[in-house]
Amino acid sequence: MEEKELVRLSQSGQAEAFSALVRKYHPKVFSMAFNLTRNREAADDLAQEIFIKAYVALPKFRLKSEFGTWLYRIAFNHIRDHFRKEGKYKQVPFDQVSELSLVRADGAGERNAAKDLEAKKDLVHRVLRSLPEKHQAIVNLRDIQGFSYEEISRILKISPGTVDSRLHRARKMLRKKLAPYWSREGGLHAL
Amino acid sequence: MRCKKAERWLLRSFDGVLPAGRGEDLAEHLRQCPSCRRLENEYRAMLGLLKSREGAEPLPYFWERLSPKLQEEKKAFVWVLWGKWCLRSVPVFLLLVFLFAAAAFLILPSGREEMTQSEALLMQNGISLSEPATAFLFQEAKLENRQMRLLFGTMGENGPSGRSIP
Repeated sequence: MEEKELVRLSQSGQAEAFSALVRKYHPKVFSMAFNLTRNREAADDLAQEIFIKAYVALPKFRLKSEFGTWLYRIAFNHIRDHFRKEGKYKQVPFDQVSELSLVRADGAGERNAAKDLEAKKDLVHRVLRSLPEKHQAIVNLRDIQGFSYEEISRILKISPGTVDSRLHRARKMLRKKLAPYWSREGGLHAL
Repeated sequence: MRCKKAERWLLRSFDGVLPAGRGEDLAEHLRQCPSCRRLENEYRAMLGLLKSREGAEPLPYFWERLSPKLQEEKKAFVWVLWGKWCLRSVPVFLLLVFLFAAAAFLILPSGREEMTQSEALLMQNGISLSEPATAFLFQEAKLENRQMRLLFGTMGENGPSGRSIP
C-alpha cells in the first residue's frame, strides 16, 4: 500500500496502518536516538516517545511533505529537547574532552587494534560534542545518519545553501579540534 | 585555485554535490598542493570514523510494546482535548455573559425606581393634587426632585402660603 494511503488510514484511526508506518521508520528513528544515547534501552524509550508524539500529532499532518521527513523532524526535535532537559546536549568544554581523550590515548597501546579503533571513534564523537549545538546537529544528520542536503534542509527548516555552509563550518571546526591529537599520536594515520 | 576554495570543494565532493567539471580542477589542485592533500586525508579519516561507529539492533517487539501505550495515549488525548475545550469555553462564556449584560443594560428600557410612599398615596388619590401638578411630578426623573415637587405641590394646593406649583 502507498505511504500516503497508510497515513490517511492512520489518521482515520486504523492501528494496522500506523503499525506499518512504525515498522518502516522504526530502525532509522531508533538509530537517531541510539547515536546520541549509546544505550539501547534509552534509545528504545525515546523511539517510543517519538512515535507516540507522531501519533498524537498525526491528525494535524496535511501530507504537504513526506511522512518520513515529518517524522524525522519530530524525532530530531524530541531528541534535542530530551538532551537539553537532561543537560547532555550542551557543549562539553574542550579541556574536558582533552583530558578524557588523553586517558584513552595513553592506554590505547595496550589494547588490540579493534579496541584502539573504537577508542578513536569515541574520541571523534566526544570532540563532536564540544561543538556548538547547531553544528553537532548538522554533522549528526549528514555524516552519521546520512541524510541528504534536501532532507536536512526540511528537517531543520533551513535552506540547502545554509545546510552546505553550516556543514562546511562544522566539519572544519571538528577537524581543527582534532588536529592536536593526530600530531600527538604521530601524525594523521595514527588517528 | 586557492586552498580555501579547494577545501570547500573537497567537502562537497565527499557529499557528491560538487558540480560537474570542478572535480578535475580539484584533483589538479590536490596533485600540486601537499597541504590540501594532507587536509583531504584528515577529512577522510575524520568522516570515516564518524560514519563507521556501529549502531545497535533495535529491541524486539517494538510495536507490541508501543501499541498499548498508543491506546492509553488515545484515551488520555480525548480527555486532554475535552479539558482544553472546557478551558477555552470559560472566556467565551464570560464574554457572552458580559455581552448579555451589556445588551440588557443598553437595550432594555430603564425601569423607574419604585414609588415612594407619598407617590403611592398620590396614585391612590390619598393626596389630592391638580392634574398639571401630577403631570409635572411624573416628569421628574430624580427622586429628590419628585419629593420636592410633591411637597410643594401639596402645600400649594392645601397649605396656607397658597404658592402654586411651577
